[in-house]
Amino acid sequence: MGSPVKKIMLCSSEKEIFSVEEQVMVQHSVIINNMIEDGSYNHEESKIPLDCVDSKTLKKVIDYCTHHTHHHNDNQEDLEAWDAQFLNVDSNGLYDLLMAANYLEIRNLLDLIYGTIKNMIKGKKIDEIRRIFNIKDHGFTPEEEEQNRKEYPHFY
Amino acid sequence: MDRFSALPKIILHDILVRLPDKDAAKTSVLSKAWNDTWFSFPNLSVCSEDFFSEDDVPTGNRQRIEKVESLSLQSLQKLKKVDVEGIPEVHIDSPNLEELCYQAWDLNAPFKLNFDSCTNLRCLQLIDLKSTGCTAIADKWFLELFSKFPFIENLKLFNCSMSERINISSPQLKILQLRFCSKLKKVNVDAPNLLLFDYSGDDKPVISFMRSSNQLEVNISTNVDFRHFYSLREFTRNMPQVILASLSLSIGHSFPDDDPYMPALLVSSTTPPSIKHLVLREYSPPDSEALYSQLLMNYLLSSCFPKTISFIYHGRFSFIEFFYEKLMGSEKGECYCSSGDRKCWWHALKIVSISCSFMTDENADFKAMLDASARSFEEKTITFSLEL
Repeated sequence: MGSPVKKIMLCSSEKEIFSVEEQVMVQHSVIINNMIEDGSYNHEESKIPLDCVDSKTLKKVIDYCTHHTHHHNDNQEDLEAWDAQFLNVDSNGLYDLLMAANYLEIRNLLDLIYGTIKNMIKGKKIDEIRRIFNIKDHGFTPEEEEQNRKEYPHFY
Repeated sequence: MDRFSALPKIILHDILVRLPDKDAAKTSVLSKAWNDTWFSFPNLSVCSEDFFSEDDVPTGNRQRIEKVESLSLQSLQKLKKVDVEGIPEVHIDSPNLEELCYQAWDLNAPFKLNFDSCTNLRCLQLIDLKSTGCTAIADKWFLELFSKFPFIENLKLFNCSMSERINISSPQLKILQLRFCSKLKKVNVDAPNLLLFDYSGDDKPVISFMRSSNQLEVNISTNVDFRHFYSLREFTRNMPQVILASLSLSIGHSFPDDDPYMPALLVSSTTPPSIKHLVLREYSPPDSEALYSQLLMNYLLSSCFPKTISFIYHGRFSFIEFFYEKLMGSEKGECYCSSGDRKCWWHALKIVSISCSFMTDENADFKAMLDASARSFEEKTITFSLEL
């Protein structure tokens, strides 16, 4: 069989090294694709430092890219079910994924996360959204908050 | 502060873009940080019914704000995009506005739209501008438009009442779409950088291009009574120097007892203008199929050389079989339109591939497609690729 699968090294904020199929990351991440294309990544020596992505999040991001590379021919329902399961995380986990996907410019993962955040807001009352996003201190003065509640009672 | 509120504004704006207007507005009272996000959000979409549904308004006040009569947006330096529906009077004063979409709802009510100071406008879309008794968009309107807003690249006019003749002249214009604009008889386009021109409507104006880019793509979609199909020739002749990318025609026949003038056209020996994709959509087949098919073939081949031709139909479209037989079958090349030693251009024309919307088997032949298509009344498409 042909040449061995080309790998690249990603380094999390905890300095843990992850070895990933190059093709998987190139297909999904605009940033990594650019690094490979412009030759700034050296396969012998380079590790891509991702200082703002912790190991747990990076592992999830790699899982996502790997699954979507190898299963892109699956039927839509299966993929959506997998995505839903993948994003079954708390709001902190979602935040970390959002930052990572934004940093690495993984467009389809970003869209998926935005869709989830949209559903956390859409059609819900203010108090409920504050609970979901863990907004303990809204930062309004008591007068402002009262004024808002008076002016937009249907939002609360 | 919670983590989401601390996200960069650009990410929070990406979230707002995806929310329905009301939910996006709601985030302004979520927290101080979300409030700042809302007020720095560069997109503004205003639509009276979305914003003020009956449930939102205390019953006593309902009458008062049932309909927003007027909208004025002043000195919003960062405003990039405005989308307004159903408000009769709109005044926008935002020098950096790039995109404006305005839709009038009440077709007969007068409207007042002023965005004169938005001189950086790139994209303008106007829908349902039809004041009673007068033409909403007169010819001089275009002249003023392009001098006031020199950067307009994208102009879309849907369902607006217009003068019979319009002249559109702009060096910047890249996309022009005219859909179901009434009264049009003549459209002159002088836009050397135009890349896309879309026209759809029941009227068939004469469309001509003065200076045009060689990348211009022209897509036209209209209805035509099959007995007036011969006018297609005039239509394609009027745009010889541009690439007619797609022409979509709904062929019907309205008054079977009329005896209209249906000239048999002479098919010439030189190849007529080519069209990348011709779409024929049949909505009511006539009684005498044989005559119909012969004339249609005659009109078609005297007007254009379609590189691909698609037939969209429900029950049966007898013309498809006729067309296939003429080009590929036992009647191949049989000529009924001229006599003598002159050879018509299409004798060497052949079908190089056939595809259809209702069978997945790539090796299926035409006969199998016809058999399969006879069994359903759903909308079907058969496409031929043609070569000379």
